[in-house]
Amino acid sequence: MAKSEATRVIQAAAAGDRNAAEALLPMLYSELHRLAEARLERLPAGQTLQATALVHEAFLRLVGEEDPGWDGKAHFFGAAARAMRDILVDQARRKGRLKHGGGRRRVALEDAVATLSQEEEATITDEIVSLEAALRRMEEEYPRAAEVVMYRYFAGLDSEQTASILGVSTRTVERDWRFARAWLRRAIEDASA
Amino acid sequence: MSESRAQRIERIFLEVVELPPGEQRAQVTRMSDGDGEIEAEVIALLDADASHPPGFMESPVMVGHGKEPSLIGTVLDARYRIVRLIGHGGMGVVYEAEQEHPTRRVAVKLLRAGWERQALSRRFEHEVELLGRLRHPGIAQVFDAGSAELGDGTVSPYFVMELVEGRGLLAHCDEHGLGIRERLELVASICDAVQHAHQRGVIHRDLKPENILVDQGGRARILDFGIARAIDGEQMTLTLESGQILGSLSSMSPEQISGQGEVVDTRTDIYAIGVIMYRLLGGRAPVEVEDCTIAEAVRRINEMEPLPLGRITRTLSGDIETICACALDKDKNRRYASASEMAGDIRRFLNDQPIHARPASTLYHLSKFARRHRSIVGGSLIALLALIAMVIGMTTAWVETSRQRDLALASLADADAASEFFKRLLYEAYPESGRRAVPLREFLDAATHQLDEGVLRDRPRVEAQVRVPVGVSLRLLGSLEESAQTIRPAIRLARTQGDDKTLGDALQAMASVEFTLGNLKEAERLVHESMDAYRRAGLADSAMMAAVIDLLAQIRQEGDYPQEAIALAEQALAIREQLPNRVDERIARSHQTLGVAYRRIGNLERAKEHAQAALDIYTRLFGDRHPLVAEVTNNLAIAHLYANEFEQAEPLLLQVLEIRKELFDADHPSIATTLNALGGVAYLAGRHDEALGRYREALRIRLLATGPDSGPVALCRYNIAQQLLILNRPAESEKEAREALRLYEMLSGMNARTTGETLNLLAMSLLAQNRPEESLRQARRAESIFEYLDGSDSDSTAFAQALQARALHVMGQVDAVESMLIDAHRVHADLVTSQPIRNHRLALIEGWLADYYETVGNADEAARWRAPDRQQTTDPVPSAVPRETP
Repeated sequence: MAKSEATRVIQAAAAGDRNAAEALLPMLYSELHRLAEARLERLPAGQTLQATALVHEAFLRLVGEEDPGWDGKAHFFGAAARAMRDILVDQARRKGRLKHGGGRRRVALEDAVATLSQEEEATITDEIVSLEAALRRMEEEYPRAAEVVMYRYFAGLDSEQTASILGVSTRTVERDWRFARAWLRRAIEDASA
Repeated sequence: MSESRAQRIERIFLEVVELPPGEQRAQVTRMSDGDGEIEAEVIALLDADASHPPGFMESPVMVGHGKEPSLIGTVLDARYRIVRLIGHGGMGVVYEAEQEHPTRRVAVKLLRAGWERQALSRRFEHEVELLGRLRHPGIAQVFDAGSAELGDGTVSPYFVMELVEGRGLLAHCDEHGLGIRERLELVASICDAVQHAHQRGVIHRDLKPENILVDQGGRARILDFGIARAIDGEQMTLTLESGQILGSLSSMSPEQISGQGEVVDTRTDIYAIGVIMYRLLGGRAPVEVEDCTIAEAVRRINEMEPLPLGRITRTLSGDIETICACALDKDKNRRYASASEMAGDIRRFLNDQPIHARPASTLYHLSKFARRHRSIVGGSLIALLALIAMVIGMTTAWVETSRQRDLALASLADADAASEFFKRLLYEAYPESGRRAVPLREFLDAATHQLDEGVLRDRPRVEAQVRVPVGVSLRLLGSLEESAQTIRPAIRLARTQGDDKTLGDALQAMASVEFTLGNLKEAERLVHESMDAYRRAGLADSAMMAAVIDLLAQIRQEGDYPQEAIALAEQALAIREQLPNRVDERIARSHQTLGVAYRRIGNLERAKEHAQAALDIYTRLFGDRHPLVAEVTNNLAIAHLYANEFEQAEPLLLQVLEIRKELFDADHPSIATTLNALGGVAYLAGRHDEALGRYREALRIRLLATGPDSGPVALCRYNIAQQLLILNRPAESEKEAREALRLYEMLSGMNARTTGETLNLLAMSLLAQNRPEESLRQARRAESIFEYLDGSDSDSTAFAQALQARALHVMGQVDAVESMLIDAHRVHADLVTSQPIRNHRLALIEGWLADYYETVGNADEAARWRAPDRQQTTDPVPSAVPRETP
C-alpha cells in the first residue's frame, strides 16, 4: 500500500468520509497482519515481539513524516488498536489449539525481545483470550474506560497521547486507565475462578 | 439524569482513587450511601488497583513461530561450540558457547548482517584488539572476533565475549526496589567502567539500559563496548528493524542523531549515561521519542529540554538534577569532560559534599563599553576621546593579565594602532571636529565606512579590536543590523589571529545583538563560545565575570527561567560588591536584573526594592535625564503594574516616555517598550482604543528596528491581538495571533511558554468567531505545552483545559465540560496571587461555569456562579501585562 494513499484515506476518514473510514480498518488490518507475519517468521519460536511496536512501525510505514493531523491520528490509532486486537486474539486462539511440550528456555537479554518458557507462552495466549471476553463486557458497561484500553493497550499510546485523541485531560485518562485495569483484572479473575 | 449501578461504581472509584490509601475507605463508605454491594465492589476494585501483578496489562506481546536457528551444535572457527540461544538483540543473535582452550563458557554475538566480504579488514582486527585490552569488572570483556560461514554462503562477523548472567539494569532496579542512593551508586560504577574504556581510547557509542546487565553480585556490567565502532565502516548492511532504531534513539545525543559522526567522542557516552541516570531516577526517557517519526525525533533531541528531574520527583531537585542536567547538556562542551568527573560529583553528592557542576553558570565578562557608551550618546569631542580611551583601555587591560612580555609589547603596539585609527578618523573625516560637536551616529558611520574600506587591512588584530566597540555602540543606538555587520568580521578576524580576548568581546557583543533580536538560543550559544574564548585567554576570574553572568541571567530570564536568572544575578551582584574597585553603576545593573527577575516570579516587593535601589544609584550618577534612569523607571512602573498599582505606574511611564523622546530618535526601540507598558495601563483602565493605538505605534517602531521576524514584534502582535479581541474584532485578532504564533514557534520553539500563551489567545479568538473545533485543537496544543513545562496543576495548563471545555460546550458536547471547568477553577482559585491576568481568568471560568449550568438547566448552580460578590467580567480575554524588554 502506497504511503500517500494511506495518508489520503486517513485524511478522508478524518474529514468525515464514511467510505474512507470503512476502508481504513481492513487496510490497517492487512498491513499489520503482513508486518506481524513477516516479523514473527524471523523470530524463533518462544520469542516475543511487542505488539505495540508493530502499530508504531505501521504508522511510520503508512504515514511516515506526513502529518495526518489530529483527527487523522485519532482515526489511525483507533483503527490500528482494533486491528491489533483482532490479530492478537486470532493468534492466541490458534496457538491455544496447538499442544506444546515442556523445556524451559532462559534469560531475557533485551527488554524488548524476551525468550519465554512454554508455560509463559501459554499464559500469554490464555491472557489474551480471557481479556477479550472481559473487554467485551466492559465495552457495554463502561464504554469510556474500554476506549482508553483500546488506545493505551492495543495501540500503545501513552496517557498524554490518548488524552489528546479523546479530548480530555491526561489526568482523566490516567484515572480511567486505573479503573479499567482494576476492573478487567477482577473480571478475568472471576471468570477463571 | 439517573445513574446506573455501574456508573455509580465507576464514579466513586474515580473520585477516591487518587486519595491517600488511608482515606479511601471512609470516603467510599460515605459515597456508597449505605449500599453495601456497591461499597464492596469499589473496595475490591481499589484493592486490585493497588496490587496488580507485575506486567499486568503493560504491553501485549506476540509469540514468534519461526524455526529454531540452525547454528546450535555448530563449531565456529574450530573453537567455539554453540550450545544454545541466549537471546536476540538489536544487532544480532547471542548464543552461549563452549570453548576448549581455555575451558570456559562464553557468549557469542553473531551480527545479523548481510556481509559481502570474505575477510575482515585490518581495521576491524585492530579495533577488536583494542577491545581486548579493556579489563574492568564493570565491562563484559571481548575475547575474540571472527567471521562465521552461514549455510546460505554469506558470512557474518561474530564477537566472543565474557558470558554475563544477570538482569537488565532497569528490571534489576525495579525488581529489587532500589532507592535513589543505590541507583546513584550503580550510575557511578557505570561511570567508572566507561572511564576505564575512555582512557584506552574506546567509546561505546550505544550505551543504554538494555546494554547493561546487573549480575548476581549486584554489579553493573556493560555489554558490547566498542562494537558499534568496530563494525562501523565495514562493508555490510545491518538489518535493523525500525523499532530497534527507535529503541536506541532516545539514548542518542544531539551530535549523534544529527549524523555528525566525526564529532562523536567520549562526551557522547557521557550524554548516554545521563539518559540512563534520568531513566533510573525519573522513570522515563529525558526526551520521549517513542511516538514520533525519525525527523521529529531528531528535532526533539536537538531542541527539547528535558523536564528537570526535580519536577518529576521533588526529592531529586537540587544537586542530583544538576548532575543529570550537566551530563545531558545539548552542547557537549558543557557536559562533564569525563566520566570520572561525573562519578566524582555523584559520590560527592552521596557523601554530602558540594558538587562541582553548577546549574548553567561559570561566566564571563562582556561589554565594559556599556557603561561608557552612554556618556557619549548625544556626542561631543569628549565622547570620541572616550571611545578611543576605551579601545586603548581594552588592550592595556589585557596587557595587565598577560604574563608574556613580548605579547604585552605586541599588544601595546596594537593599542597605538587603534588610537591612531580613531585619531585619523577624527581629523580626516571631521577636520573641524575640534570646533563642533559630532553626533555619535555620524562618527560611527564614518568608522564602519573606513573599516569596510580596509584602512586596517594590515592590522587584522587591531581591526577586530576596533570593530567591537563600534558595533556595540551601534547596537545601543538601536541599529541592530549595522551592529551585527560590524561585529561579524571582528569574530572572524579575532579567531584567525588567535586573539581570544577580543574574540570573547566580539562574541559577547554579537550575543547581545541576538539577545535584543529575541534569538535566545543563538544568544546563549554565543555567550558560551565567548566564555570559552575568555577562558582560553586566562580571564575566567577577571572582574568582568560579573557582567557576563548578568548577560546570561538576562538570557535565562527571557527564556523563562526566572529562578535561574535570580541565582545568576545574585552571583553577579555578590562579585561586584566585593571587587576592590567596585563600580556603583554595575551594582545598579545587578539590582536592575534582579528587579526584573523577582517581578517575573511574582515577588513584587523585592522587585520594587531592587528597581528603586538601581534608580537611586543611576540618578545619583547621571542625573534624571539619562537612558538608564528611564530604563529602570520603566521597570519600577511595571512592578507597580503587576501589583495592581496603576495610579503609581502611569505617571512613571509617562515620565519615561518623555525622557526617551528627548534623548533618542522617535523610532528608538526603547520608546516601543514604554509604549507597550502604557498600552497595558490603558487596557487595565478600560481605555481599549487608546491601548490598541499604543501597541500599534510600538509595533511600527519594532518593525523598523528589527524587521518582521523578531521576538519584540511577536510581543506587539500578541498585545494587539488581545486588544482586537476585546474590541470585538476577532477576525483581525486571529490574524495577529497567528502571526505572533508563527514567530514564537520559530524563535522560542514549539514548546515555549510564549507559544503556549499565544495558542491560548488564538483559541479565544476562534471561540469568538464561533469556530469551536479549531479552538479546541489550539487549546489542546497549549495544554500539552504547559503540561510539559509546568505539570498538570499549573494555572496555564488549567486555563487551556477550561478553553477546551468551553469549546466542547459550544459544540454541544457537554459531558466532560463540568469536571474540566471545575478542575480549572480549582487550580486558579488555589493560586493566591495579585496578578491581574489570573484573577481575570478566574472570573472568565466562573462565567463559563454559569453558562454551562444554564445550558443543562441547573438554575441554582448557574446563579451561584453568577453571584454578585464574584468578580464579573465581560472581557473576552484576560489581560497580559507588558513585560520589561531588554
